[in-house]
Amino acid sequence: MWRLRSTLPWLLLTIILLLLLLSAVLFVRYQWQQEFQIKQRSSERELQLLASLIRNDLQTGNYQHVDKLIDDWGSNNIDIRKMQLTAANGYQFNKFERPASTSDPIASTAIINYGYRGEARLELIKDFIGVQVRHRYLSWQIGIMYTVVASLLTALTCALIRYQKKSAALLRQVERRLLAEAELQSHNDSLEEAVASRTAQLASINSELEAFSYSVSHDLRAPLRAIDGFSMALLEDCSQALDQTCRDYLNRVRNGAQKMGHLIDDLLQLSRVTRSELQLKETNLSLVAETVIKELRQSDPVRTINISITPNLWVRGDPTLLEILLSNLLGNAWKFTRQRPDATIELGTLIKDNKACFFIRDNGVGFDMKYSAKLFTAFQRLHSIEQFEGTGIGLATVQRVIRKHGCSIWVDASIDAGATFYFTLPSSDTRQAM
Amino acid sequence: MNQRLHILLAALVLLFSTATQPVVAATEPLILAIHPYLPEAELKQRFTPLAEYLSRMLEQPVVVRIGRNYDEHIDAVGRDQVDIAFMGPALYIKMVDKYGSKPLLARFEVNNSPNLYGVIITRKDSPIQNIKQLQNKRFAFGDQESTMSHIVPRYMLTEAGIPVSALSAYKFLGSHYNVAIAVLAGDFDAGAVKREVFLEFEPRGLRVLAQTPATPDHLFVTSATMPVSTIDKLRKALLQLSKQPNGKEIMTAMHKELTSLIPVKESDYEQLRTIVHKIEADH
Repeated sequence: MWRLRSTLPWLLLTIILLLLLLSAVLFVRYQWQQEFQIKQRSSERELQLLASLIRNDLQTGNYQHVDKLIDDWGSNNIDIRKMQLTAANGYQFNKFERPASTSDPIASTAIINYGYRGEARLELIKDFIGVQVRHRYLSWQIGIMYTVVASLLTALTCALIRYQKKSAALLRQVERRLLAEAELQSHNDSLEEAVASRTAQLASINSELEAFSYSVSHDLRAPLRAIDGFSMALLEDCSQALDQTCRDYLNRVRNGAQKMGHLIDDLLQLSRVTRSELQLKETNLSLVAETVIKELRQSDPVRTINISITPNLWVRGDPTLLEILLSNLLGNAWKFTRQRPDATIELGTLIKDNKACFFIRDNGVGFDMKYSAKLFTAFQRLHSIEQFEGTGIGLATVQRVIRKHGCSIWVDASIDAGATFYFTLPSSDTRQAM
Repeated sequence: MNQRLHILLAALVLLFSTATQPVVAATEPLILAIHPYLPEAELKQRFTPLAEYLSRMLEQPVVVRIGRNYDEHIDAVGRDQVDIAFMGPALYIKMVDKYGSKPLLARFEVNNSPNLYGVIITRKDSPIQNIKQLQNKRFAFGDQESTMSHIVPRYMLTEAGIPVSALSAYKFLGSHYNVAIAVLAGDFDAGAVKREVFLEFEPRGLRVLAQTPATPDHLFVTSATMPVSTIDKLRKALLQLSKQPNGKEIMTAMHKELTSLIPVKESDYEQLRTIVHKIEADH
């Protein structure tokens, strides 16, 4: 098929060129015939005119003039190859002749009747050099035109074939690309579908999980309150009847129930953070931090701690979630600087890794950075509960608040050198931009 | 002194030039008249060298004048309106018959022959062997006034018992050449031409049926009013032409075979006069 497509233009070109050649030959031939016929008629008229003049001379007996006429006529007309007048008895009057200049002379003859039984035959042979020259010129012209047209058509065909080859290759390339794109699109579509499906599944699972954990946490609080409450009632009402061991047991029950309550509270907070709708507002983070610190001071008024909060740190965030965020981070800082006589907690901003971010720095016990990967995972703890109380859910909640705002949090710490938490938050539109 | 001499010389030159010029200017040019037996341009070309020669010899301008036709030429010569005239023999006889004789100067001698010859011709393949067989045949004459292509041959035919009325047809073709070609073309069975024309066309297929008797050739005459001294000078100049350094050139210009100009007398044309009168009587 391709071979046929590639040879077809050449075949067409050959046919066109042959037709053109045939047309050119026919045209030249036609022109020649036309001119030849015109000249033939012209020759006939000339012959008749000459015959008439000769007849007049012969009728008046001016024979001498006939000879002169033939000489003059022949000399003055370059197309005449031969002109002769022959009397009826074969006598040849003056004859004019010049060398042949063309291969296609036009010969014509006239019989001249004059006087008493007088008869002569006038023969005229003409070459029509001009016609031949014009015909040759026309042939050259047509030949040159034909060559030019043929060259142009050949060049055009070559260009066409080249273009056809190129366009075919391009077409194949485009086809391949389109096919690949279609396949890619198909993959993308299926991938998107899969992602959407998985996302939906995950959302559903998350939702169910959140609902489950909320329900569990919420529903666990009632029996815990009952355990703690009745344990306290036993200690208060039956203290006399219980020995020290029993009272100790009851205190342990109450401690366990209270710990479990804290755990449930933290879990509920984590669950709320996840489930709550984000309501962004222009919020002064510095004021939120000061409120949290105030609460911490009230809960532990004995501690002397150096607090530094950069004022007017405006962000665009959910105030409730931001309070949870700072409660956890500042609470941790408060907790892990407990053993420092010169405890320092600092909230500020800086440019870190080309990013504007907030930081909360403390000079507490710090931790080994090799465990930083599990720092924000729920129920993961880097210190024993005997050293530092806690449920191990706080930083998981912190990370969830940050992610809820579409931002990020990371940490830098070392053992006994304190820890610094860096985080970003949406910058305020009208206040200090971060 | 020198200045006076120059003025004197200039005055002499002026006097001399003004004294001689009126003589030349006052001299009327002599007219050399030629009968129109050839185209005017050719005749002028042929006779201008002679006119110049005569001018030198006579110390008087001579101009060539070609007659409009034979009759006009005869009248001009007869009425002494021209000074010198060149005429054919038959024409001269007609002029004399009409106006009387004129002083004769000289006549042509062609090929060392003082006489003119004509021939009656036919084609070589013609069955006609003599002029007696020309009865009921077609005959071509040259000019009606021509001596050799009409008058003498017609006289010969008449003498042979073939008057023009006995011919089936005859025609005046105007020139010797026309006659020769017409006979060759078969349009006429016979014709009359002067001998030199016959000799030119003989190779193309002509032969002689009869030859005319010797006839004095063309001649120069002069006006009857011409002073005798001038006539003498003219005659002497013409007769001595062949002896002149450029004489042959002048003669050849007039006639290719002219050998000299010889003395002429009235009696030379007596026989021809008889023939002319006879032909005129036949008319």
